[in-house]
Amino acid sequence: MPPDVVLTPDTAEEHIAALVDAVKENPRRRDCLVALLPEQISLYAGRSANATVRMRGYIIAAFGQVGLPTAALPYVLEELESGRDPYLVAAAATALRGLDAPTSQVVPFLLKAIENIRYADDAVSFDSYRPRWPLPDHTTAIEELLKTFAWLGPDAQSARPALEALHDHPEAISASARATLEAVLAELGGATPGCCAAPGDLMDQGAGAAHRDLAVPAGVELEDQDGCRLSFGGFFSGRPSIVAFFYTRCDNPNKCSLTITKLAALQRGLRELGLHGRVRTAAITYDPAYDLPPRLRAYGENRGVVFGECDRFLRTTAGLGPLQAYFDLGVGFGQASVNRHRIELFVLDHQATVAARFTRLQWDPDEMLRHAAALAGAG
Amino acid sequence: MRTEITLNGSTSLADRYLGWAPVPAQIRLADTTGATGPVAVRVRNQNLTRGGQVVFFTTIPGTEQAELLLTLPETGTPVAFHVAGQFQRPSTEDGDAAVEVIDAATSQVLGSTPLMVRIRKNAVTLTTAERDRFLAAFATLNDRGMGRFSDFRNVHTNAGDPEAHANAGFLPWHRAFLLDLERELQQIDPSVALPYWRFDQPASRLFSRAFMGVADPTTARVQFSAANPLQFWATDGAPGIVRRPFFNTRTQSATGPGGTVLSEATTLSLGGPADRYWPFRTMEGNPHGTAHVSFSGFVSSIPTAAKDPLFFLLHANVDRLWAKWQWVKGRFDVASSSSFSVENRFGDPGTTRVGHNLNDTMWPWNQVTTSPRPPTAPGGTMAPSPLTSAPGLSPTVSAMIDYQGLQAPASRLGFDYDDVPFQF
Amino acid sequence: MDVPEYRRQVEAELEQAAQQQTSFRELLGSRPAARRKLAPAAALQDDDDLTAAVDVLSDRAADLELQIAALQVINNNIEARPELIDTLLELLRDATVPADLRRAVLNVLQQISFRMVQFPGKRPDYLATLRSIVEDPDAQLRRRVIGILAREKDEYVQRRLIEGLEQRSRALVPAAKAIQFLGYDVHAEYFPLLRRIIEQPPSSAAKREAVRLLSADPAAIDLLAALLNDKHEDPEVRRTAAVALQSLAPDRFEAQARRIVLDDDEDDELQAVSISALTQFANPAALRQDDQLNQRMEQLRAESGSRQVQQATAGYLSKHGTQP
Repeated sequence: MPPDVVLTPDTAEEHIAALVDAVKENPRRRDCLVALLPEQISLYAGRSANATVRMRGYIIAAFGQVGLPTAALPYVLEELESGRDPYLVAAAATALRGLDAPTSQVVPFLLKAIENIRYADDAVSFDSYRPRWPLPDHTTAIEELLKTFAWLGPDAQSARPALEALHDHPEAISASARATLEAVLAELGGATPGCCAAPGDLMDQGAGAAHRDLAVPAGVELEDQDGCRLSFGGFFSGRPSIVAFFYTRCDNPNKCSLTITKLAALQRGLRELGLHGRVRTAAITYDPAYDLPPRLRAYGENRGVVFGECDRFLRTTAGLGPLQAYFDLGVGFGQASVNRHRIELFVLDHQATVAARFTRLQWDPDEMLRHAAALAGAG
Repeated sequence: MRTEITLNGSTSLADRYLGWAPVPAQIRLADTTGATGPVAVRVRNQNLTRGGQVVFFTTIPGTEQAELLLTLPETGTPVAFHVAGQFQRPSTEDGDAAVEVIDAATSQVLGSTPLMVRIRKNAVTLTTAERDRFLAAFATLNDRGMGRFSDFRNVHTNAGDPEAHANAGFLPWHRAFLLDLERELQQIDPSVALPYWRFDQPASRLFSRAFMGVADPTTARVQFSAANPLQFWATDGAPGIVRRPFFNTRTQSATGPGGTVLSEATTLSLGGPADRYWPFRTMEGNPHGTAHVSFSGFVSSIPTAAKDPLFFLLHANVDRLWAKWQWVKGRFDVASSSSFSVENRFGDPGTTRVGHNLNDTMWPWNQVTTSPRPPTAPGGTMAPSPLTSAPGLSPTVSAMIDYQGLQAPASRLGFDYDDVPFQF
Repeated sequence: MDVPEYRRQVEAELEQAAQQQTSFRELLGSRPAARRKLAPAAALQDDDDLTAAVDVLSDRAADLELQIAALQVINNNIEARPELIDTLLELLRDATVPADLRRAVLNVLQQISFRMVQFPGKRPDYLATLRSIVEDPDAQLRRRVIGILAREKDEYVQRRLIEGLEQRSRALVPAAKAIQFLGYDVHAEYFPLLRRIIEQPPSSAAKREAVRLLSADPAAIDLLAALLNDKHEDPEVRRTAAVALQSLAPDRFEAQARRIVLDDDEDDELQAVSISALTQFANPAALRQDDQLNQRMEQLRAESGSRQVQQATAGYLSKHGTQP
């Protein structure tokens, strides 16, 4: 990012669009777009969710033209795995075509994106920012996903069974998408499909260690789903904890609703392993002013969470800022609520220090159980 | 001497709710004081002029009888029979029906068992008390947006759409959806049954401030009376309902700019000359879809339709039409393709999306969240009932078809409609 | 009536209805007066009927009732001819087609979206078409289209609605509807705009909608409480504020509701609303111990001249107190 470019909540969206367009003209500057992707930067503060989607989608789609930096890849894969907004999914699919070379490791993400979006697709365009309709031309998320499969060429072999199934039940895709699909299948031909590609070293999906040595935040006061007041240190010290972040007004079922559903599964797993009581589970809301205790309780119970001494949902009554800084939360706020957040789960040790973090991609409850067991055993 | 009656194998108050379908019952002498031998008793309705009425069967299949003459062993050994609500004589209050047992020789009353003939009724025929109990239970389930109703709302979205629509399982899925909601309402107030909106007839009593509300002419925001608890209805963090009819609710059936709902008689003929399920299920278009879009507002779009409580009364009528078709055409046999079938006019025959085949379990109750099912399954498994173990916690499509237990008594789901009888 | 007799009655009704069912081509050949008694039955349509239905839609001289019947025939057979969606979208886009027909087409497309297995593949074109007519000269069509898009939380329509609220000359719908449509998405983040509208409302309906939708903004609790407590405020606004505060901060509302009920100098309807809220949602054990409140309920039941208050107190006393 040029040193004289200051981006604030008041920066006009057209300014960001102009910046992106300038990078398209000068692809060597593409790394400055990566700095615009973290959810918590001040650029997005106060903006609506749709404005945030517009800006991020336009930025991400540009990578398809200028090349996709490695640092941007997690954002792209996150959108494919869990996104439900056609504009962003289309942008992510387009961005993948900016990789230096095709790789079969992206196939699972592309297939997941098709599942996420096929019944909620939409007409989108990246030809200009904030277009006025009608447009002379448009694309769709499914079409961009299939174009990326076409770009993968032989590296899409492992997708062939799923793409053939899509072809056999084409009712959910348009005629033009079907034509792209047939071309992809023709390209893949009769070769034996390979086994499903593992993500491999595509990005760091494993435990990300705490990258900063921060003291446990002081001044963070919490209230649980029953209205009991606690301090951060008071609750999280003494035994390991698994902490998820969420909010009840999240409208992406792949994010908060699924996170809490998996947390409930994690709780059941801890009981089966005899670790209940030795490992805490907690979910902290990003939206403490709205997510009052009755909402916290209802949200958790409706997803199978069982509350108790060691299993709580929490909101901050003071110290949201220090909490955000401590966890380096990937969340942005509009005027009254969250406008964008990543999936994030943390494992804390006995001293409430972040021992591992899992961000952006869907985490596996079984893997979390292994972490928890290891920490409980070490305690 | 005193008798005791069990229904569904239980003396619990929770079991004392009947529909039109016969349920197993037993009677025995619980107190044999004064009995010197077997005792002849008459089992009958306690009050023939008020409240719900029941009929009795010595065996099923069999002929219903207004009263039974039974002989009870002095040992207290139970005698089996069956009891059902008398068609077109439902209750209006909990416990307004009662089975009375009298000594056939002395006319002494030996026992009385209050119960309720609990039936899904046309919403415009509800008494004020029935209506208010239903509204109170519904508002409690919603609890200003914080209650368990949010799970029902979160099921019927774009993500859940392919599980519930545009395919063979549309009718069974929605039958299960309504049943789950009704059972949750009955956990709040067991006297409540889900009413239906008969959309091929005017329904001014339904579209009143005291019931489902009246649209503000400027904003389409639904207005309620000050005593109506639906005024506190909230979904997605916002209170209120947006719904305005395109038709005159006092004088017209549901009509939108694109047409009027089919009449009941026309709907029941959709199965064609052979009365088969596949053509019948096109009722998903008209009258079902037509009813939805006879309004502007929440109920007219799939992602927001279940935000409006009217959705459930609309779908209760859709389900009633299916139930009535089943009764008129004898379509309860799950093994018959006339009762249920999967056919595609455009793709390969015989297979369709998972969740719509006869033996598929249905989302969300099956709690399956792996592809191609949606990523979460709000609400958990099917709500249980004290009256029946059907359709199970994770119902299949097939479990929703024989809802009265006509083919297999164990399939009985525990609901009936006021104008759809049980008939052997 | 016994069940066999009832069955005979129903079967007779079905038989009579069957005699009125017809194919679409037969309907076309009937006289207009006779058409109203006929119903094109889905089971009786074939490809020629579908073709006839499409022809009727293109015929500018055809009467609207016939065209609506044609649309229903297409609706019932759309899965066999999914390409007809494109025909319908073209009609919808075409501003030279009579508005009545375009509204009917939109309505049928909405019906189709509920039941057509191939609709997801057509959804992008459908939404693109809707966006292309948000400025349509027909106000009813414009409003319906914007409503559909708003319920999808459409980015484009939110943009246009906010433009219209900020600059009246660019408004596509009345302010109250714009606010309501934006309210379908709690993340639309237009709360400063709502506060401005409350201070300087373009209409009373707009103010009520703005008050209602502040229920999504925790920072609005004090504002909602102030509106509720302001006896000089429009009673409808106060009632809306009550509902919004009840949704956003139930405990705070309950305290206000109690105060309103106890106040001799309060609006009757607002009192009735407050009583209903306490009846439905307040903690029963706490209510049982609130002698002051219960005595007040008895008093209102006996003395209030407002039918609404009487009804509300009757409900309260039936559930929490002495049956009157």
